[in-house]
Amino acid sequence: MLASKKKISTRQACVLFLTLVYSPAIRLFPVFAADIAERAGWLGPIFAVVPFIGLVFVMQSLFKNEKEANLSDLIIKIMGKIPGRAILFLYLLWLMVLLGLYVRYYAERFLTSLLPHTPMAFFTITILAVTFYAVRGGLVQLARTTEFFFLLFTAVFVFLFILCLTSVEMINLLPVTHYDFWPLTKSTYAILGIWAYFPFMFFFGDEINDKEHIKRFGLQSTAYLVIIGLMLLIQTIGTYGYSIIARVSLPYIIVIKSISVLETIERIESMALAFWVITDFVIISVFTYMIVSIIKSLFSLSEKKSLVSPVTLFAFIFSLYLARNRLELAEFSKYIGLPLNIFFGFAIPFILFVIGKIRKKI
Amino acid sequence: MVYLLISIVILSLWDVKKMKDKNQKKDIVIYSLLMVMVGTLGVYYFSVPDHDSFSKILLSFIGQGE
Repeated sequence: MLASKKKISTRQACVLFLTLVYSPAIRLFPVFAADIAERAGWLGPIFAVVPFIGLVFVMQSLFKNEKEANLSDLIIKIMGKIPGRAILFLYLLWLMVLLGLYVRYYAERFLTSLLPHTPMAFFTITILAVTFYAVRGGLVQLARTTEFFFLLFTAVFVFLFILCLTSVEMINLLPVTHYDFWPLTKSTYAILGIWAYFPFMFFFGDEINDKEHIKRFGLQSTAYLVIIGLMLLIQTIGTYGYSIIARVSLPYIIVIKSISVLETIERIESMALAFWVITDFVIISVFTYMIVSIIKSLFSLSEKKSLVSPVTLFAFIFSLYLARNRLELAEFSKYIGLPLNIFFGFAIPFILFVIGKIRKKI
Repeated sequence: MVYLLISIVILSLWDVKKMKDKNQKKDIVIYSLLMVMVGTLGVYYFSVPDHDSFSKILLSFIGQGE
């Protein structure tokens, strides 16, 4: 009982996942869906459901007999000590790259939208200082804070969607024909590239209770992801059309900017930006926690707290070194980020499942 | 770069002291290695202003550079 007080539930882990997915989803989904699937792009989340459900079932199977383990332990158990540690090392490198990427995207959003003349280091140092404090406080506190913000953000998101509905034009969304099937399948690439973060939550699986409920909460999360994804794409593509959405940066903010209630209530994009900042805090904090968890497992260390310092300093420097400008950042996400996310988030867990079954390790 | 190095030193002293009190020798070694790597990356980044970015290097491998 006392030990489980330092753990979170599978439901809380899924809430962490759903919250951290918001930030990249808002940034990427509308642009990719509009560019690849055009008018039919809003249906992308429905096409992405089947692979994600498969992933949920794979994770359920991996942890079926390993209630106290984390994903690092499972990788080493299934693949063996040396190949397992090699795979874990690759995951560590990739997650550190992603951490730097999200810190950079956080800063770039302010530079693009609100404060273009402010030094980037101001934004990166601020978010990393908050992350440093939050992550050192522990996973339980982070999860509880995120649960509260998750409810608030969902309410705000739905509220903004309802306000946008008056601007949505059906001609921007319909008709959808059988010719859209293949482009829609291709457009799931961006969606799956972000939903692929689900297995990464289990790198701190030794701090997650009741993993026998992965399937239950995973499927509930799937439903939530599909609904939120549909709402996001309907309000962006439906308001301005696919040709404009495919070309603008921050399409969601541009759509929110256009909301005007009785020509009185305007400029409510600040509300969306405030909650986007919170989701960025969650994704950066959770990725930091994943990285320190992997380092602890990889080197068999006794605790994680002290590892937060080098990881946050690395995130600061790497976010600057990662790209020279927004164009390089976007190219990196499109050609390297998303494919590697799908590899690490879908392909490797599936391979682990197959090898685990063959070797009778799971 | 100076502020970065000062941060590294201050954080290292603070964390290593706590780890030493708990007699976590292995943790101190790994922590020190990580801090040295971070410091090296920081010195490289701030000392060589004309370097190619990480994205540019990787994108050039897959033929997506300029």
